[in-house]
Amino acid sequence: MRAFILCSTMRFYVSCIVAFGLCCFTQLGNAKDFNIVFSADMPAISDRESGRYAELASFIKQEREKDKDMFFIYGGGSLGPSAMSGFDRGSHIIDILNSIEPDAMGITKREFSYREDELSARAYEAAFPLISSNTADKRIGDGLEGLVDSVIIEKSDKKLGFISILSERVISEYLLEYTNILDPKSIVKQQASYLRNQGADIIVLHLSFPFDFVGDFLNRNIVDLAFLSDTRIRESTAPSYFSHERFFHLNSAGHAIVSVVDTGSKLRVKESVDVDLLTFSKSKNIQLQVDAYQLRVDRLLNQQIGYWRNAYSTIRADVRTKENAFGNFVVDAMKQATKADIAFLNGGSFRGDVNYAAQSVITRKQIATELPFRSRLVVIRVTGEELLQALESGLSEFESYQGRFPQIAGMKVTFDSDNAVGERVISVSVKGKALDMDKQYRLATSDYIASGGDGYSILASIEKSKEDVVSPILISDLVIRNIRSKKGVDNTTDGRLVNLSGGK
Amino acid sequence: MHKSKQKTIRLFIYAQFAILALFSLLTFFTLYRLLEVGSYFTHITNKTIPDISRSYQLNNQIEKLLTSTVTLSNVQNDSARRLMNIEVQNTLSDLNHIIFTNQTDEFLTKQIYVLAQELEELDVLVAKRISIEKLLAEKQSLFIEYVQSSFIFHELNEDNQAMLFDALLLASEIKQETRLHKLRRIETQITSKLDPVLEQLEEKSKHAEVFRTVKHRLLSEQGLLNLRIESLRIIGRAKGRGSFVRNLLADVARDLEYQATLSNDAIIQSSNSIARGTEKQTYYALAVGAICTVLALAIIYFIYRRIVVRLIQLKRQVDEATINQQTEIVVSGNDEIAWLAKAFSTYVKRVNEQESALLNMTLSDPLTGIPNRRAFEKYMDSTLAQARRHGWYLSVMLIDVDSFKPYNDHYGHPEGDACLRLVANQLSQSLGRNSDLCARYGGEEFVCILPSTDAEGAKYKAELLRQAVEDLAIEHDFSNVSAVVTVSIGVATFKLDAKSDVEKSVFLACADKKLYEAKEGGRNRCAYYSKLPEKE
Repeated sequence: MRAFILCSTMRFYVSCIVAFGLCCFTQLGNAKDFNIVFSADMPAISDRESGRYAELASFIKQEREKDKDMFFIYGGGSLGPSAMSGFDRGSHIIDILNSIEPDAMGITKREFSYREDELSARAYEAAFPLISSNTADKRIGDGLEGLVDSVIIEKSDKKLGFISILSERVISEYLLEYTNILDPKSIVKQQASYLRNQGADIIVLHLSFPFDFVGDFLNRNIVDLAFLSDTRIRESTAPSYFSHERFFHLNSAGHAIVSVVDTGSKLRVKESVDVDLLTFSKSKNIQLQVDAYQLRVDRLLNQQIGYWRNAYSTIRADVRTKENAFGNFVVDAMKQATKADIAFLNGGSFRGDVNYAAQSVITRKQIATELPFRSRLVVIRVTGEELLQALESGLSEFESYQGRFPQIAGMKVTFDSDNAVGERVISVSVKGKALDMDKQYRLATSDYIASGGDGYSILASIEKSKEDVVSPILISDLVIRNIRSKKGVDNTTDGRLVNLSGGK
Repeated sequence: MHKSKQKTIRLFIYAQFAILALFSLLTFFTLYRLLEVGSYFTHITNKTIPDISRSYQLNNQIEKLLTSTVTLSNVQNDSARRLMNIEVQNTLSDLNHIIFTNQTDEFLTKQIYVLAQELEELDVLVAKRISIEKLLAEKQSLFIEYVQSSFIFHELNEDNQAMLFDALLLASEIKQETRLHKLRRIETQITSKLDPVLEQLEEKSKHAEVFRTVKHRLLSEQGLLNLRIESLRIIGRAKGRGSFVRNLLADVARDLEYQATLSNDAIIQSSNSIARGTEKQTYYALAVGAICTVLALAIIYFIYRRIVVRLIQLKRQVDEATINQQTEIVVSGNDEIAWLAKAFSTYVKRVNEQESALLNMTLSDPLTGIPNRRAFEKYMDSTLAQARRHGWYLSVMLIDVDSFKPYNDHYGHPEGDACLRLVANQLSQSLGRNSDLCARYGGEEFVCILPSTDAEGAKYKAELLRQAVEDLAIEHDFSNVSAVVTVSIGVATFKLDAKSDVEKSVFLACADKKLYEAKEGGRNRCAYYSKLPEKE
């Protein structure tokens, strides 16, 4: 009898030990190391700072040699805008990426540079899935053609779930007619739970806008990792979760982030390194590809058209916060060509983000890089009141260096960026006289702005009159013509746009 | 005189020049405008219209090139590709030709050059795609053949059958799949189906061989999957090139359109400015024309008043002068015409003077036609001299019409003149002898010279004359002598010789005294003296 009891107890303890051992074993079995590389934001293949595809290729090759199950996530932001993309709509980027073969690519608003249908076409050309979790095509009631809501990337026994979300600003910034942006927060929750049901070990969230729910989702492990691929966000306005361990921010172009994530009982980031791709050698094949594309653009656009007579800057911070000499040149040209009363153009039209040395040469390529969007010059009629509202719109995102900041001509504006949004314009004068709220002014701008792009919805709501003009010429063409006829650019700033705030 | 007197002429000349100048100016401006309009039309004909038609042609060619490029990108076989390529090249060279007949834009040249390059490269790409697709099709059919011929399906166990079946299903998707990343997935999936089986099977067995071959044909570098991937990548690149070409063409078209707009605007502006200029010019022309007309009328009026009217005045006065013996010809003013008037005046005066002078030089009495006093004087002198030389007798008679003044008063001067004429005629005729002279001595006084006539003869002759006049029977109701016109005659006869100093005046004085006697004696009679008067 006692033997019987002893045996049972023994059996019981043994099973417990075995069970425990099994548990430990399974836990051990669940702990996998995910090697993940993130990169993004390389729209200009030959840009000195950010054109690093050849280096990226050799880096990826190296990492894949180290671990064949390495995951390479590309965060988009590259299909446009650039001089070459102006011609081929980003096909060359896809072609180059095809040679590097990321496992998935998330999309940012830049992927919409040439609108929805071109993006769909690129998706078909891509050797990897393009992910957009919260966009829907109004025309078909489903996701955009060619794009995927989410994906599970499988490597051996590792499954990585990937979600990519966009902010609804993309609609107004890129004037998308056919796209709806679904609520990112609920989509992320939905997709994350779906992917987990499909067996995803970790969920990676890709974003290009600092949504406020991200920190919370990371803490609650709704998503495991978050990857922000906007190299333009200013740290000073960054939300607190930026310092979260499982949050990765690619904050310089031409870089990549390598991370090793341990999926043991508690997910943790074992290692996270920011890699400057410049330190890597160039893959010959990829460089050949890059060069071949560059050659095609260069042979077309390497024409000298004049000289930068002074030093000019189109650095993002410059064109998006204050009066800019080159900006003046462009809007002055627009005003003159249309004989309008006033003109303005959003600072976001200027994409060069470079400094030009005095007496250096101007090439067509530079201008095509500065103004890669094929915006047309239009003239519309606005009342003083509408113009004031438009200017307030333009100054409403001053702090985050948004592209809507206006470069102006034909008027003098003083503003105070410290004031509340909607109350920032202090004074506006046209031809020396104060702005008349009821008077009609002829305003020259781009078709993009006139259609309400970049938050200028007041302009979209104006009734178009038959006196409005759509010039056959592109703004970039106009600028080139003007540079050629004047043999260069020699504008300076003249105090037409003054910020009374002491701060900046 | 000349300077001030030439004012009218000068003024006239200036006025003419003024009109000429104004009309010349008018003509010049009109001509200028016409030339401008002419050159504008020439410009339109030679440049604008050809430009517009070229623009149209270019647009057509660009459209054509666009569609050809798209078709070229999508051709399914080599012959179609070659055909499309020829069409593309032809359209391109047409485009070239149209553009270069008139363009010197460097960038446009480059664009077209790049376009040509891109199209060539596109053709190469399309050729590559077609060859890969051909290869793919070939390999596909070979694979199917192989699968059908070498299959030992039933010899495999169930699991392996399933795996193989799945793998073949996946393989069949390769041809359809158009998305690269899906193909990669298929690759992974096929691998995951075939590898486990291969591991199981004995390496050298026939089945293993088949499975290896299947895997190789599907997944190797030159396998169906990678060929398909390659062809998709090429399609992607071709699309990229297609976009490139399309946008390049759009750039070219837009540039040309803009240039056309500019030149259009220039033409419209220039035509507007010509229209405005012409309108202005027309107003000026009308104004100048009106001024010229008014000026011309003013000048005509001026000429009329200053020249024509005064010339008529002059003519009238000259006529009058000729008719009326007036010597005063005056035309107001200070110029050539006035001077002409003065000249005329002078000449008329002179003519008159000369006429009288001339008159005075004649020897006939203009009224009666018989010799005048001068003639008498002359004859008297010569007869006297002759008579002295030859020692002849000489008689002189003074004859005076009786009561001539009453005759004149009552019958009028013209009658008086007529009477005198009759009397003179009668006296002349009655004298008869050639050497006898009867001359008119004064108003109604006549004088006769009778050379070689003594007292008897003179007496006879005097009586004869007296009777002859009386026989005329000219009615004279106011004569206090008779009912007809009569004469009284005083005769003086002297014998002359070389020594005599009887002058003409003696004769006349004597005859006059006798005439007076005759008058006193009752008129209509003769009184005679034949002796030398006593020297008292």
